[in-house]
Formats: sequence, structure tokens, C-alpha cells
Amino acid sequence: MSNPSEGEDLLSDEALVRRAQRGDKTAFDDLIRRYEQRVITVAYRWVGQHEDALDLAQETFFRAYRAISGFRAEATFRTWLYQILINLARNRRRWYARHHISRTVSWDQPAGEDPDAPPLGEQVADPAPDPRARAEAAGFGERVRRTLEEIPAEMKSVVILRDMEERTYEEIARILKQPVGTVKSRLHRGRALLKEALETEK
Amino acid sequence: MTTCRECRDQLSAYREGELDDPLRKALDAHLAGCAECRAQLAELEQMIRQMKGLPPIPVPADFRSRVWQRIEKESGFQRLRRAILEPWYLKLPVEALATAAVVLLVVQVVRVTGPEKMATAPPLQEAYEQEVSKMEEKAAAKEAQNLQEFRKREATLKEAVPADVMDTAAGLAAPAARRSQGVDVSSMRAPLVFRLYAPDPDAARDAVKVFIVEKLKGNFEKTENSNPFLFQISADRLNELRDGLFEFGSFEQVFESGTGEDSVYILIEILPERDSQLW
Repeated sequence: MSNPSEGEDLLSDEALVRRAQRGDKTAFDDLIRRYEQRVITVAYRWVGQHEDALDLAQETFFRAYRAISGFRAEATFRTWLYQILINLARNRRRWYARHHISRTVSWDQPAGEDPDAPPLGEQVADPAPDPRARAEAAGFGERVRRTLEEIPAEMKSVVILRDMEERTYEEIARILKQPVGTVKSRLHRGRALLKEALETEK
Repeated sequence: MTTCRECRDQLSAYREGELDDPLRKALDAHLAGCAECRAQLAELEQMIRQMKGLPPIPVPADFRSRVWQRIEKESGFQRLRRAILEPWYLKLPVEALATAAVVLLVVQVVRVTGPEKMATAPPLQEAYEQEVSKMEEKAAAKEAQNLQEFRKREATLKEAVPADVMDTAAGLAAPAARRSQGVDVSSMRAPLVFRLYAPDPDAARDAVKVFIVEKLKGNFEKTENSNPFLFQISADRLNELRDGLFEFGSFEQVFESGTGEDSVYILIEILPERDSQLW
């Protein structure tokens, strides 16, 4: 999801990481810019709420910044970032219990008090080319947001990374530190659970 | 003969072409004759397509500045933490015995009998706050000096913590060695052990230090206390400390110290989360 307007993205992640490790804040800022949309999107898929997702994404980058000097190139920066995010997401109930409780609006629910207002996501998201596809995506997005909550974390993470983020099995295996076979079986089980939940939810 | 239930359990793997030949053929055959399961497959396809089609979430214009605010906020605190905290904390030199990723902290805590004793302690909160603001100013300059001091104190660790406790700690910190040698902790004074599985052990170690000093700050300045590793702490505080550790990752209390003495040794073992049984 790199921003096409960023023609200056010439440095590799590795080069930016090395600079960031030497204390170059601009380099870390570039890394945030490169991954903010991915991180925010995955965070939103996980928590289903806008403000919580932004908090989670912010915390992910903060943890990455704090730990970057110890980051070894055993994983790619992206894989590592996903690891931090998923681990924070999995622990977020405890984390939120300590820090704050916020119930906030969904991208797919009407924004503000007015129940007829368009969903927040439609107010700010780039419009999809086809309005019908867009409406369908919004309806599905809202249903999947609610039902994903019921899926156990280890399957939820695989479904999000594989089916929504389109990561490869190999990368997911590295992110979750699980064998590829485990990733596959969790994907299949997760899809089955999600499908079932979507049907019940209708 | 494949039943509809069996067929549906396999649909996702079937769709990905991950079934071995006999199973795939059995499903082919079942699907050819079962409209209901074909419909299920079509629904699965649609669900996957819709998931792939979900639009990315837009990034608020101020997102990066929010991240930087979070980072800057912590940086001041981290400097402060190093200034006031490092001398008290011990990264035990047991990594050689333990797995490379193990990090240990040991705090010796003087157990006081109850709240009435706590109440007689002088109110230190205000003094603490003043001290903190002074230290914050000098923090950066003190960093190098503190690191030296920290190293010196690390060397005196063995005097501060009795040898049998150290041995137990080392045994606990090396699961493999513990299994093979069967370290008998019953005959030793065992520390109170908390095992924490954290996504990022290094970051967790820092965070735990900050957290512990927060919990102990009312108890840190005991004039009669010549041992820098001693804190007076009530049982309630100890419980708070334990409860708070939940924040940092999956957590288990390995076992409780059986000592009836007036001090208790707390050992917090921080492991990478991949070793967790809870995953």
C-alpha cells in the first residue's frame, strides 16, 4: 500500500532501519509513512473500532521505535511490525483495561448521533469505483467486523493476514512463528468459523 | 463415501488445492452430486472475495505526529527511568546458564507485617516528586555515570542476594537445565517467581522496570537501608505488583516462596512470547 505520490521512496526498508537505528528520526518517519496504512488497517480489522485501532497502531509504531536498536535483520521490518501489532492486539484487552476504556464508532456504522448519516468510513474513505460494490463492501465490512470478534485469536490473525491482507503463508508463518502447516489449518478452520458466524449473524 | 459435514470441513483446503489426491477426488465426486455443498463452496468463494475487497482504512492526517508525540512523551520518561532506576536493578549475570533470550530482574523486598507498619513510614511522595524533577534535569548527564554505577552494583549482587537464592534463580532461568538436572528447589530458599511471556522481551524488561519503580516509589528512600536492593513493601503492594504484571504479556506465577523469613526475593523472568504455552 505504498503511496504512489511518494516518488522519493528510493531507500529500502533495510537502509531506513539502519539509519533509524543510528538515531535518524527522518528515517523512522519514512518507515511509519510506508506502513501506517497497513498497520492501521490490520488494527482496525482486529479491534473493529476506529479510535482503538488508531491507538493500537500508534502503540505498534511506538514499540517498534523503542525496540528498533535491538532489531536484527532476522525478519523483515514489515514482518516484525506485524508481529508487534498482532501481539499487542492479542493482549489488548488487558492493555485497555489498564489504560483506558473507549467505546467508539465503527467505520461502517453511522457517524455521530444521526442514525441516517452515512458511515464514517464512507465519509472519509476513497470512494470505490463502483457504488454497488462499495455498498456491498460496506455491508459486508460491518458484518465481518462484528463476527470476527467471535473468532479465536489464533485463527482470526491468520484470516486477517491471509484473506484481507493477502500475505503469503510463508510470511504469516514467520509473523506468527508457527509452521506453515499450522497456518494453513488455522486459515481453513478460521474461514469455516467465520462463514458459520456470518450466516448466524444475518 | 463423503458426508456433507466432512465435505464442508474440507472446502477451504479444497479451494486452495491443498488436499491430497484421494481426498480431493472424494470431494470432487461429492460436489458433483450435491448442490447444497456446491452452494457452500460458492458462498465460501464469495466470502473470500469480499474479504479481499475490503477497502483499506484511511490514515488520519495527524497520525504520524501522534506517533511522534507518543515517542517524545516516553523519551523524557525513559531518561528519568535510567537516572533513577538503573542502580537498583539487576540484570543477573546468569545468561550464560540460561537460554540467551532470558532476562532476569531480582528485587529483594522486605516483607512488613501489615498496613500499620506502612503507615508509620514517613510520607515520601512529595520528596519523591521533588527528587524526580531534579533528576530529570540532570538525567542525560548522569546516564553514563549511572551505567558505571550499575555495573559496579551488578558485581556486588552476589553479596546482596544469598547464594542459595541465586542458585535457585539460575536453575529456574534455565528450563532445559532444570529438566535435566532436576534442581531441587524444596531445599532452597526459593524466590517468588513470575514468568512473563512478552512479544518483545527487551521492551518488556524496560516496561517492567518502569512499572516496578512506580509501584515501589513510595518505599525507595529508606535512610536505614544501606542495601540498595532492599525495599519495604506491604503484602498489598506485592499483590498490586503481581496484578500489574498482567499488562506486559502472558503471565504465570511459577511458584511461591515458602520462606517464613522477613524478606522475599522476587524474580521476574521475561521470555519471548513464542515460548508461551498459551499461544
